[in-house]
Amino acid sequence: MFGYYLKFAVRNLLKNKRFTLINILGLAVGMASVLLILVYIIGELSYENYHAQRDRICRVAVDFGDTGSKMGFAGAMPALGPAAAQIPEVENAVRWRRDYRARLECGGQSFVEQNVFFVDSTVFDIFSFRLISGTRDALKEPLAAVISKSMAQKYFDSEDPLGQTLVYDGEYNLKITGVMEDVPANTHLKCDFLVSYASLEPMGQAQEGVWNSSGKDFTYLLLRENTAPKLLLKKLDELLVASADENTVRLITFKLQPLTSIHFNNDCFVDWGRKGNITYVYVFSTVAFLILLIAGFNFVNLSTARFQYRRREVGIKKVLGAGRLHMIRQFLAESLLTSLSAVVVALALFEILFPHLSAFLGNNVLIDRLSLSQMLFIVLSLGAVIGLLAGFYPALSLSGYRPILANLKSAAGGSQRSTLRKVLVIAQFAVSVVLLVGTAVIFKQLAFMQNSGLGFDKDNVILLNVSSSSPEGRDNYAALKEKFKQHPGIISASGAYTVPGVRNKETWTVRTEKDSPQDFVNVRTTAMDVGYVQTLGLEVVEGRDFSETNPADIRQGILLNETAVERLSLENPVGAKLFGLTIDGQAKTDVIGVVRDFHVTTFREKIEPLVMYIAPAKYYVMAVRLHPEKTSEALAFIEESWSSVFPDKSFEYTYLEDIYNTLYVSEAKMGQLLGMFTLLAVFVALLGLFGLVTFMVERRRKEIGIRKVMGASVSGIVMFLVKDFSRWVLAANIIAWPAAYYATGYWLENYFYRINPSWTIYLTALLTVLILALLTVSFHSVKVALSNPIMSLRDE
Amino acid sequence: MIQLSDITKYYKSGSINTYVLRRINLDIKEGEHICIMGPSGAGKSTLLNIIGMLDDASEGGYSFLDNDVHSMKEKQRSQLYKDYIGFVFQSYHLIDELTVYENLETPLLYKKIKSSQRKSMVCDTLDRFQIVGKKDLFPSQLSGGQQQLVGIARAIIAEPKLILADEPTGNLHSEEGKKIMEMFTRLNEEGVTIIQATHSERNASYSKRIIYLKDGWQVDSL
Repeated sequence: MFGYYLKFAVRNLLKNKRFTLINILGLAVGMASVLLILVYIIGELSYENYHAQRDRICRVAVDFGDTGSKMGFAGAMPALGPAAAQIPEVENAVRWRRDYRARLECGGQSFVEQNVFFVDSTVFDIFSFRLISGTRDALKEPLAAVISKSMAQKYFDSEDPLGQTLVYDGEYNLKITGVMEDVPANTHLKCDFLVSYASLEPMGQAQEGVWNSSGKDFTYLLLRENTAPKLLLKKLDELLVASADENTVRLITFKLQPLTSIHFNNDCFVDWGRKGNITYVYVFSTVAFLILLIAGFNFVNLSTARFQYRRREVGIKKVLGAGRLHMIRQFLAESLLTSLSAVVVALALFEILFPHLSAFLGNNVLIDRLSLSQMLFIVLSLGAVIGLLAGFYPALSLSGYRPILANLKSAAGGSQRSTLRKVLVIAQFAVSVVLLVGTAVIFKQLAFMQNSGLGFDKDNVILLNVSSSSPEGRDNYAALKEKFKQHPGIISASGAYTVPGVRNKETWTVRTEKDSPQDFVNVRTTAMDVGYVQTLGLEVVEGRDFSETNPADIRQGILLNETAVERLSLENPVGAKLFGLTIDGQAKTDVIGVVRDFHVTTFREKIEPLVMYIAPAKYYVMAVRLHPEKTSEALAFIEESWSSVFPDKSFEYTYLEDIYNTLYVSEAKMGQLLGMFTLLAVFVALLGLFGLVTFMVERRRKEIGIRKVMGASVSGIVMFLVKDFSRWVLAANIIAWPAAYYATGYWLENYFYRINPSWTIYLTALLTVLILALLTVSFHSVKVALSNPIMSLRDE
Repeated sequence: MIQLSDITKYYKSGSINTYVLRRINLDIKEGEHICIMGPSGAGKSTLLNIIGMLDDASEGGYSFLDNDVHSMKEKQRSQLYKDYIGFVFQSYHLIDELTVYENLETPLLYKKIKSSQRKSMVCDTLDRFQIVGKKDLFPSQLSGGQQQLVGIARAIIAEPKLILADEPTGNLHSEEGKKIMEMFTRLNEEGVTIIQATHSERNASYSKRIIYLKDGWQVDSL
């Protein structure tokens, strides 16, 4: 009997090729989208799963600074790890210190490695790195290192790395005491080299027992079962009070970050690994669900529409003795066969699309975590569920039907079934509209952020890496700046602590003359050189810019932005005095001018009060404004000057514009990705509509014939067919608009500076769907309307 | 074999009952060849449906092989007609997706007859109807007469006692129709009871007893 069902299903699907194709294609596109999104989501949510004890591991992060101007650091002080290990609730502790640019040599070859970490020997008791050779004591001794398998391959080829030596920083011989499996990409501790923490001692970098310095040591604690974080935090604070000096105690607040939360945690100024965005995970989970819903609705819709035509068949089979169960099984066999064919196509689509999507997202965003068996499991269960759901409804409703011979002749459908179809089609279009509006809002916000004025001119500015912290560096910087004055292609140049677009968290608290000492205001501050205002194209709205000829400017002058003026309630800012900002022993007090507000970070954040001052020892970047028509000459000249000042430093530069472009990369990619999935969703919905219209027009063929005989025109008939569908699309929009409004509103809340989506977006979405739907409907309607009525009336 | 007493059938449309059959009384013995005649809308098909247990009468009694059909459960009833009744339709109603062979096999499948026995039954029937050469063709590849031949073959394959035929030659031209009627006659001679609804006088001439229907009433002649 099973063979009979299968044979019948295959023949039936082949007989209705268009229907089958539409169904399989729609479902396959839906399932492939879901798979792609799933790979992304599983990758994001599986961060740190490599570590078996992940649920008990916490990182101690530090908020540093006075109340009101705290700044988050992922690293703690060197003394914390060993001291915290003594707390009863803590089973073990490990410190990680990273060298981002470690120079390693071996056998005459030299490489710069990014993933070199100095770690305590307890690392293997806390984290689950899999050692291939060596013991868990491998990092007890100074100058010992454990390397990953692929690094062993890179440095030692096929030789046994154990006992070999790597030269670190040109002078320290690290002995390889272990090899571990490569660490997967979904961890923020993506390490290739683990060097014993004790090695810092001979290297002169150890700061054992130091409480008042630096956030270089990322400290991870393995907690005992059922430890309350609050209690542990209290004990850590007690530890701090007992050990550190008063000032440190005042400035430091500990935070506990569960290991599994670190990927999505953006609190820290510097952190390791790519940061995830939980909003995107939510958005794309929803999108996956919606696409699947559309594809599933299609399937149900087309199946029920088509099963209308099979009343005759059901009737005959019942007359021949088929029971209800026979018919249910037969319909289920058909819908399962369809959905399983779609599974095959979906897997093929996935294989084709995955590399492209992966390359597009870049940066290990998509980690192929799914084995074939997992994927098969997912798609097969999807296929089975959709197949069963889609098969069950028509199977149950049709199989219960009693074959009255008179009814065998007509194929008219029941009215409640077409109500269900209407509801499903409306739901599909509603989802499409929500996705369209969402995509449009993201693109508009993106365009808004990229195109609206930043308050300065980011074009034609290049950035050079300099450092004026040493006297020698200061001389080099001055020499370079002097040279740049000579070339007509260079409009101006200036050193600075940082430039807009690069994260700056330097914060001070200041007050005005009339404020009492308690009324401090938190402000951002930044150091710059004379010429910075001109180089970045800032606009001075009151007072004047720093002047090279005025030593008082350099000594104690400051510029404020408009927000700072407002926050400090200064009525006459120029000439006012501020207290609290002291740089290198020099108080910066005299306000000489006000610049128009400009964006130093993304549009996500509000413009904060900013105080700018001159500090020759704090330049880490040099901004150079080029003449737009003489860029290449200017660049050649700059390179030449650079080589003369820094004979052994290679010349590298970045365009400020590029930095700005990267700020919105994740938004841009999310927008494009959402756009892509929206297109797919709309495509699948239209595919379904096309199939449905085919059946509905087919069913009304006779009616159309009669109308034509009565004298209806072609356009009249098309209009009459199209009218119904337009109503559905309108209904879908009315449902979709509020949903889209809330969803986009929620997303836009991420941005302090955001667009206010106008009604035109909604109208555009409506028109897009309406036009596409009408085109789809007309395609078939026109054909039928044009056909000779004799043809449709003859049969019976 | 069949006793109908005061069978009445009406459809409710709003508050009005539209009568299709009115107080039909019939007694049909095994081995009879009966023809139900009457103009379109006289109630022929409805009567066949009721006899074939595809439809219920609104009023009246129906006994089939001494079973009271109206008091039977759905399951018993369907078992009864599966075992004893075969149907032949005006528009053949073969299953388009199945070959001649498979069409014949279908009723046997639903009766859960074993594969080997099924095979021999289908082969016998193909032989008997001289359509062995057509067994792998699909209905669309056959002429109307051939299709109806398959339709009859399918109706008798499970060896029913009763064949109900609704306008079996209505879609055929006269030569084909003649062949089909001859086939019915032969089956009847083999002991199968046949009831056919028709408005063709010529078909009626093959049967031994004619029942006339007019506007739902049983009448003596038209």
